[in-house]
Amino acid sequence: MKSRSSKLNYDRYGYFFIAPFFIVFLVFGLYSMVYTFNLSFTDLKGWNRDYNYVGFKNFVDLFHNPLFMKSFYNTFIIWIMNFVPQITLAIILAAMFTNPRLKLRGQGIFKVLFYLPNIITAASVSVLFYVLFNHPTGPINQLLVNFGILEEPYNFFRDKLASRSIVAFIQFWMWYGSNMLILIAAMLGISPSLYESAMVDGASNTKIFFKITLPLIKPILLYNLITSLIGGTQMFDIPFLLLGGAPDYSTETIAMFIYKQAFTGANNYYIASAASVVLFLVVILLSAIIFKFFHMEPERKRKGVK
Amino acid sequence: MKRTKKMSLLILALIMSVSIFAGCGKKNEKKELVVWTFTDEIEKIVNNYYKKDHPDLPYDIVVRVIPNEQYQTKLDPVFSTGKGAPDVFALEGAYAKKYINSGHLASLSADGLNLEGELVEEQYPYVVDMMRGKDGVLRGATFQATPGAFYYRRSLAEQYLGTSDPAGVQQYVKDFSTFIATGEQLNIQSNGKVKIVSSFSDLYKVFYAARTSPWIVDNKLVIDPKIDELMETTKALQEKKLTNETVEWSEGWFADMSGDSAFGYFLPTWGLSYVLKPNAKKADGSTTSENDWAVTQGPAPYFSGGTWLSVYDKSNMKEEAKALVEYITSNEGFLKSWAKDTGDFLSNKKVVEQIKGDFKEDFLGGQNHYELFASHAGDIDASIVSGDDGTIGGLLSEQVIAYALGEKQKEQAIEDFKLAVKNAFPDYQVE
Repeated sequence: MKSRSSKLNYDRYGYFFIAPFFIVFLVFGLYSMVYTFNLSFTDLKGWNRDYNYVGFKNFVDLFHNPLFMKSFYNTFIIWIMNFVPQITLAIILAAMFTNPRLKLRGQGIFKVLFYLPNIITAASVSVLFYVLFNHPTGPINQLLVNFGILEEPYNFFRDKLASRSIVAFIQFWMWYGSNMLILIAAMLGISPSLYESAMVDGASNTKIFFKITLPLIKPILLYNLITSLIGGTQMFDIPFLLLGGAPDYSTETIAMFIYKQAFTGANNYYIASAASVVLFLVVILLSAIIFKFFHMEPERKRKGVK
Repeated sequence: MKRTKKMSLLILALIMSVSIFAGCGKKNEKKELVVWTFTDEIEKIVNNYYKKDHPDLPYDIVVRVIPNEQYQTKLDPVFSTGKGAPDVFALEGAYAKKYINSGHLASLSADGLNLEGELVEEQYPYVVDMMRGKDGVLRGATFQATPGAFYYRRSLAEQYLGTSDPAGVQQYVKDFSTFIATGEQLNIQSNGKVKIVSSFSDLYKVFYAARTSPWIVDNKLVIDPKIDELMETTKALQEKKLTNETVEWSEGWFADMSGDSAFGYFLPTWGLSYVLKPNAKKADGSTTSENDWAVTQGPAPYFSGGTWLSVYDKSNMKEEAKALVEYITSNEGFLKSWAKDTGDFLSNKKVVEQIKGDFKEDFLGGQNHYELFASHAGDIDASIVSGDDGTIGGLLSEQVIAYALGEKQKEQAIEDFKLAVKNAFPDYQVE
């Protein structure tokens, strides 16, 4: 009894330190989420402050709304167009930076340079690219015409594929550096003795990469994939500031659809909420699938070994 | 030592917690009249005119300038929650109607405000109609009218049309079929160097204003015949290569103002001082179009933009708000000096009639633009304007561009437009 009271108990201080996060999350995170769920079953819009419950009507309407389905399609097509090259380049660069045989010089400066695009705000980047690809007097158009590649200036922002590609490229360009840094950290965490023994056994760079590096960074790849997926489905700033959904709604993402419903036109908060709930469920579902897909395999193998 | 340390920590904690709650209490005893606006005009008026004429106001006037593209997103939540709402706020022509019927704007004919009588008598009809709700109640007032016109280059008109006189050039742009013919003439005679407009998006506002039916009648979407005409006109301009293929408010569009490649621009009154003058000289000073402009009515009367003032219904400073609104909209002394200092076109007919002879704009080659605007401001009809115009117009412009550029057939473009309206306004019937 005595010994216990004389000893200072620090345990509860831990709770104080984590309390701010939970308070902020409860007020700004959980409450808004629950409220959004609630609104998605109502008809709240415009200047109204009262609402009625309408059941699942909003969700049924959403799936019959071609523009919503289009925004879904756009979001995923743009995300895939940006994620595949992004993760590929990030892995290649990370592998080169961590390869003990290459011993690249000036690594610090390269890492900073690759990461730089991520620091610029989305607003500046979209203005920059808008001006670059502007029709008919933008620098890219002038360059292409002057070099004789194009007969006359091409209106990139009226071409669906070009517009989507530009949005995807900006996302790729802004985020590959950050992915690369995470992957470098992951690769540096692999025990060097594994590499050394592989090298002693005469394994080639490619073999080392596929047999040692890749399997061991799998958890981090999973992390990258899921954070990028969540970020990708919420893609808003670049396409919104660059094109606002044009041409022909081909760059309108789900987040833009939600924004436009809630904050422009008739202020259809109920549609925006329902769309947010759908987005939320889709992200959860996809994350679960990816998680399962990545985790099942090693689990089963381990069991097999037993 | 230990005690002092403990004490100082305690005091620090106290100060911090007090400063957190300080925001909730009243900061100072002096009352504040809060004004929200989206350009610096109202700020200038309050600081440079109102405060000078009223040096001993017993309250502060706080003007918050919020950029126009964020203005509605800031205004909507304060109205729907009723917290932090301004006492007086500016509304732009493009979205004023949306707020007029919101139930949050004080009636200007109600007790305490009582402004309607003099406003209706003295102002151009359209600026008053703009601020009437569906119930006919007046809920806003303005100091400026913003009739639109066609600004053109004198030297290019002289060279290719043989006249630079506004009345003469008007004959070349009197309606849209003549306008296209003139565009072809300019294009051919200049070997494709001079286009009649920089962008066909200039035309939208003219056609929108020329509609005879509003977008929504009895909760149903109505596509006016003028919309078809707009689509055909833009397509003709595009196919005959009569524009520089820029987009309104884009860099190329501004750049054309200092060169010789665009004959004219559709701009309202404020386009002269806010758009043409700042862009008439190329950034490197190599070319300039200064003093080579003139203005004429163009194919149809229209208006664009404009700043109206409204009072928040639940404001507890209505008397002070009234004083400010009354000063800005009806004080002849202020209006005259404002017009003289800025060249801004006024909405007060009485004052305009008194001063319209005094103007001579060097930038327009000595033309008296005031007289031209005065002769057309009365023709403007704002009865078809509704709060949804901004959104619906935006949805249509995407389809107009798609049709003009040949991306879509007209039927498809109209179908897609209807779909977009249905998506943004599920309560309207779209057939």
